[in-house]
Amino acid sequence: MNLQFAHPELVAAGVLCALAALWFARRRGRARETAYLDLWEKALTRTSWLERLAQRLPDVQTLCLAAAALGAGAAAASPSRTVPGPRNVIFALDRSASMAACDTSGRSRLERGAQALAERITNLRPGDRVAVVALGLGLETVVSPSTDHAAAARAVRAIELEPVDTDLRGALEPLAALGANLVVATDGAGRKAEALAARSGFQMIAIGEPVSNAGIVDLEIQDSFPESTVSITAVVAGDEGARAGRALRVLREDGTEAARSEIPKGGGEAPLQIAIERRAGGRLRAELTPPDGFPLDDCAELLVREPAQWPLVAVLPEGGNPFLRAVAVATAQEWGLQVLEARSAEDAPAEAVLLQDGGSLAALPKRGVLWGVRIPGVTESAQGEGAVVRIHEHSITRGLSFAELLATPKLAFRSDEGALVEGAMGSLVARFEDGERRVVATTFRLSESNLPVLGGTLPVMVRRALLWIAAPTQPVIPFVRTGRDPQAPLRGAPIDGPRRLGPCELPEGRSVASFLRRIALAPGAPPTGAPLREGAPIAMPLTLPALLVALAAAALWILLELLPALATRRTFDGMTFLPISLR
Amino acid sequence: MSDAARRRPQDIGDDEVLARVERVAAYARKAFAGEVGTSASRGGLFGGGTLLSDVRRYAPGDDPRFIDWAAYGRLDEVFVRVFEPEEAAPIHVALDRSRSMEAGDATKAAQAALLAVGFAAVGALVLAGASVARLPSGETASFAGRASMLALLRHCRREGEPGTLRLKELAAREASRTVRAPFVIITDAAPPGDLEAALQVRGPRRALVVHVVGRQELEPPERGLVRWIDPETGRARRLLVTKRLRAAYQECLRARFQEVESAVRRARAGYLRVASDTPFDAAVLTALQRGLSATGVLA
Repeated sequence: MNLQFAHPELVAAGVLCALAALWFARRRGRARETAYLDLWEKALTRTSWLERLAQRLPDVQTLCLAAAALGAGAAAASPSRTVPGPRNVIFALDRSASMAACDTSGRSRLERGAQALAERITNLRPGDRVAVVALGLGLETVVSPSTDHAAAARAVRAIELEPVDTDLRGALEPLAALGANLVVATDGAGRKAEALAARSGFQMIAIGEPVSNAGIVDLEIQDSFPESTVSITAVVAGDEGARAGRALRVLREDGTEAARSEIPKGGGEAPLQIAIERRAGGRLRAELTPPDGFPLDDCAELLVREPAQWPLVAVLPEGGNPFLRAVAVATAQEWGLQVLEARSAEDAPAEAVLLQDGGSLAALPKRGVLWGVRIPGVTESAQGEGAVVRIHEHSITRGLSFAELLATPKLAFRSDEGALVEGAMGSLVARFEDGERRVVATTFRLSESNLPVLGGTLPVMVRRALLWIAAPTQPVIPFVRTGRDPQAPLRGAPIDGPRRLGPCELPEGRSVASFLRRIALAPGAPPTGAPLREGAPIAMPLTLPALLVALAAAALWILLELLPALATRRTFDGMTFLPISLR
Repeated sequence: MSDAARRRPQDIGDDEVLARVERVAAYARKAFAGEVGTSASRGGLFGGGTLLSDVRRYAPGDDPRFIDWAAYGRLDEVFVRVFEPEEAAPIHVALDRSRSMEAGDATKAAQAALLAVGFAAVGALVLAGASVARLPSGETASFAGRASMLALLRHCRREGEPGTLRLKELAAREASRTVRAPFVIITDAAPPGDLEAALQVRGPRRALVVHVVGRQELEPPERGLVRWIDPETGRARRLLVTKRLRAAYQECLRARFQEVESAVRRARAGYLRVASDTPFDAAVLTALQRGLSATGVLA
């Protein structure tokens, strides 16, 4: 305790008064000579303990008098005490993927780190200001500087994992630059981080134990919808020990195993090619089995496009070409679609894909393959204005020719009329795309075709047209999700398109973050770095406590002065006090 | 006893002291002449002469040392031998004027001085003389005849002086001078060990211990915080005197008196405890009446 006095001379005066009080107290009492002092002392031993205790009252009085003098002198001297000010402490918890490891303790590193930080928060002095920061891909302030230690401890325990890797050094440098006390719990303490801790004076609590790990570091899907087979390329990385005896299996949403591939022996990265049947599509989970101490990178999810559930409707007006129905039935059987028959396009469901002979671009369906469409402004006469008409005389048609309207770059239409582009898929005549609307149109009519001959090419044309209609509007991005609990049910996955869950930003060239971590510190190592620095000193005035001490001591002195009189039932000014027996 | 008679000894003037001494001396003459029936008349005070004058039946209070055991064997009856009183033998008085006698308001010292005057006056006026030795200075003066009364008075009532002579050493010194002179020790018996040792070395002569006790020591009036000081050693002890502590002290004091009296009796000496406010002449007369071997309390 660092005591300071504004007027130290008054303290000296108080000390002198206290010494005088002690001297006075020693001389107190009527001096009487007796030849039997030994008898008085012997008599005292024969009295009760209370009587002997009462003999200490004068000493207590003496101390009270001295304390009163000291307290009064000290109070007059305006004392103050310099105490360490509140500390500013930032507690940072690494919440990267590797903190999910349980090592051998049964509790994850994140939980152990949170527990270690919470204990330190609880042990802080009241008034210390605490901030809590989570270290993931970036810095997230969980608790702003506050003196509510309980809330900070709760917040530390509530920090959740982030399935990313952490640039520990890059995260700590700005924190260390703040100048506050910094306590970091991490499993990624390496030599550089330790050096930074020593240089910047913060504490580092090492969590975790060195364990082997293998994880899925890359996952790619080749999904040629609506082909029935999906190809998956997975890259598993890890040392030889961690990879040995493990396999990558792909599970369907219902838990059945879609595919399984043994991981080849050896270390480093191992690409695995796995082909699975699409079936109902949906979310699949690729996971390593058996799991290791880093469960977070043992699994990943991916989305396989589901086969279209839209019906295939053959629009056959009265007298229409029945061959179109045969094509629709054959296609639906191949792809497992429902096939319907309608007299007009208006009778078909809105989500259906129409196979229609004849129609107009002015009344295009949402999806459909149309023959003999009259495209406004585009006729055979449009040759030379950006479109060409090619007369096909196919060898297999034996003289039957049909006209194929091909667009040139010079051909332009108004946007509301759609666009004609060069057919990218061979024999398709025209593709019309407007938002979700996709229509393939030809300018020839089936009814005018040589149907028997055309029967060999029409299914091919329909198939290609349907492939284009069902093709994704965007490049397919593998849907990958990682989670702490690989057994947790999958929720919230998107149906209408692939997207990635969680705030993770994957490294370039990776579809799954690499969680491989090299643990540098020995388990249970004590925190490295300097102890917490004290805050700026604060001067606390002590005048009132000193005054209270003086008053209390004086009051006690007066009380003890009166006590013998009370005990012997003396009379003061005509008042008889109640007798107080010392026994 | 009236309040007037219980005046403080130091308040009694020399003239009054001399007057009282005269009355004591007159009584002593009658006693030694056999005109009054006291132990002194039978040699109880000084009967320790060397010439056998008579043999008489034993009476209570007779010194057992003078029992004629041969006669008892022949006659189966207890007789005591009576010696001719040696009236020419002086009285030796040891006056304790140590620091402990000054305790309180010095009434013990004043009372002891008057008692010394009383006993020495009997020797000076009635017998062959008296000597008074002061402790601890060891200053000794002899007195004989009426003319020495004033000197006796001054010798005894003088203030105490420093010295190192102890009661035991004085008793041994006096024993070497004469074995017949009766020895009167006036002291407060503090500490009691000194008195017992002195009685051991006094020799065969008779001795009377006059134990002077201060009235304030008997009945301490103080209540509350008292700083008790031992005048002999200067040691002090502060005590909160309560009713119960005071009662315990008085109980210890009574035990101390018993202890002193027992020690004196074991040494075959007389014991007379006198309070500081007891008239000294009454104490001397009591001693004359009861004899040196008797025990009494005037407190």
